[in-house]
Amino acid sequence: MSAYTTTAPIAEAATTGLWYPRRLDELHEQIAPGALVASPTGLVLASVRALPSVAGHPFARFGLAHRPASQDELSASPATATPFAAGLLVLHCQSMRRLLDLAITHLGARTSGGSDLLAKQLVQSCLADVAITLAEQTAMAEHVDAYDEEGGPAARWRSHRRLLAAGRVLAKLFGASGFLADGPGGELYAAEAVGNVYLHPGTEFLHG
Amino acid sequence: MADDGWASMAGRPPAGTDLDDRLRPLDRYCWELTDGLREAGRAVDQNPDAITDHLGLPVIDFETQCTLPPQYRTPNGHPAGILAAGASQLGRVITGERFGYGDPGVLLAAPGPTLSGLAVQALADAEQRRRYYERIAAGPTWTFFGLTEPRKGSAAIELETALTPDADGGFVLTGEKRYVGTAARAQIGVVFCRRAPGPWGIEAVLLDTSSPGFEAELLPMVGLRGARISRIRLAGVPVEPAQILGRQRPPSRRGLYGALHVLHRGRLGLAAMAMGIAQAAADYVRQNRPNLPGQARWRLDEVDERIAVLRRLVHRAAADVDRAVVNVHRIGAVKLRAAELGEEATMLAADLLGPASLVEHPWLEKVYRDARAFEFMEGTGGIHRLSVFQGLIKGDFLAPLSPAAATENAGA
Repeated sequence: MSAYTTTAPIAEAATTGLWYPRRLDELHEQIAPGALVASPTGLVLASVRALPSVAGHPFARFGLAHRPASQDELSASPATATPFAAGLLVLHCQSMRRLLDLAITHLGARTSGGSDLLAKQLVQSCLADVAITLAEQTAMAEHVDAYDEEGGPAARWRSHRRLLAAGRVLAKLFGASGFLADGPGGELYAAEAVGNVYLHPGTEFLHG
Repeated sequence: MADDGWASMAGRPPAGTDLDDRLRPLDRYCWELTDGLREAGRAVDQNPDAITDHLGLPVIDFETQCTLPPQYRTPNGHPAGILAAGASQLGRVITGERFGYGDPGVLLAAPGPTLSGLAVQALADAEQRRRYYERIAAGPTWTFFGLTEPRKGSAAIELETALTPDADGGFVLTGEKRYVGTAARAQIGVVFCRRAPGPWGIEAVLLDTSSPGFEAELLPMVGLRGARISRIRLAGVPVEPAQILGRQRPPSRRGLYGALHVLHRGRLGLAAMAMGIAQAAADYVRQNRPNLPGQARWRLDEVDERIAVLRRLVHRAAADVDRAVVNVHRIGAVKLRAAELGEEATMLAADLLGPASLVEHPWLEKVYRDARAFEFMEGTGGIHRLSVFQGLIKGDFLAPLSPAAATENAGA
């Protein structure tokens, strides 16, 4: 089943496994085979398939679930946190990349004032800004060594924030369909929520 | 007294890049050459023609030598390997950033082939090259690249300056050019003009500014005064057929082809200089406010990261050009982003250095003005955004989707 065939009921969206939650589970498996990676704040966030017992939180509408990390997961965290965080940025870029192509298809099929939306310079400019940000953040995410210094958590958070901002622009290009929970807006929200849990560097960075 | 940031930068490798054994020495050499550049920059900002008092700066000679064909170079003590590395497109952006960090106005005020040399390289026949380069090599010679017109701006392809046949088998050149660097002080330059309708009707003509009917004057610009942005009036300037660059080439491989060849490469050079400004502004703040509080440090770190990422993309695009792969969309993207970053970094510096920072920090006041020039030089941000969009649609801007993701999208 494709990711965005319908405005599926919330329950279905939560159980069929959307693109981002599936990839999130794959990232957990890649970094911590057979386990889940704990966030710095002591939570675990994965798909509702991986954590079915806590479905029901609003995150479930986006195919996500969370719970406190186990002691084993917390113990493993120092070794897994950084590669997992870097992987989340790559995942965010991959999600944006596919949604950008979907946006182009969407806009090319809609018309206004006798021409398709893709012919509007304002739309072209928005798409270009998203694409440039994506090119930059992909280049950044490909070089994880850039995050290995002391300021790594803050750098990752800023990269996440730039992707988040570009994602908001992208979602608006889908019009109201960009606000559907089982559409591009939902997928982008899932990336935002996961980043909020795993990538936020702590308030001391922001207020210190 | 404000610290200009030099000490903190000395020898620091540029973040975001992996320079090889050929380019690291070039980067280091350029860094060493920049001594005295900011003092010259201050003088040139006061009076752009004061560049003539600073022609002894090693950076000026190095830049000229790098842009001359090997047979016309006079090494003047510059190591041959470093000159060769500096002549590649990747070398050009490395030098551009280092010298832009010092002062881009001095670089743009300097004599040498600059953009007109790129046009000659792309189009000229052997005799035209010989005459052009012998003149440049004989002594300090300023040149210009005349493309932009008052009513056309970025729509270069619609230019109207006319090349009209005369009764003696030659031509006359009539029209106006605006926002052309150095034209009012140059001895020679290239003017793009129209001999026939359509894109292939554009020609590039090599002109001597002492020709009758050629008149140029400086325009009063906000910043980057060393560029000596000028207006040119062409009132029936006589042109011999031998002045038409590449006149034996097919129309599709001269005029417009040459303009685009220059613009793609020139945009990378501008991106590098604007990056240099952005990095210089960030370093200046660190030097003068070493203990910034959290949010301020946060904002500055973000600028550093964005510069490092951009540097990687600029270097990639330049390395592509060295491999004869010219991706105009990616070049446009880095040029527009560098111009934005230059402005943002200088504005941030003015913020973080506090009230009246533009009074207390004269270097910042100057670079704050200079940074704004990069938006309009060789294509505005709006034009480059549209180019990025075209690249996106053609699949030439971003790496393609993986087959699996494309299949998923096709079903969505």
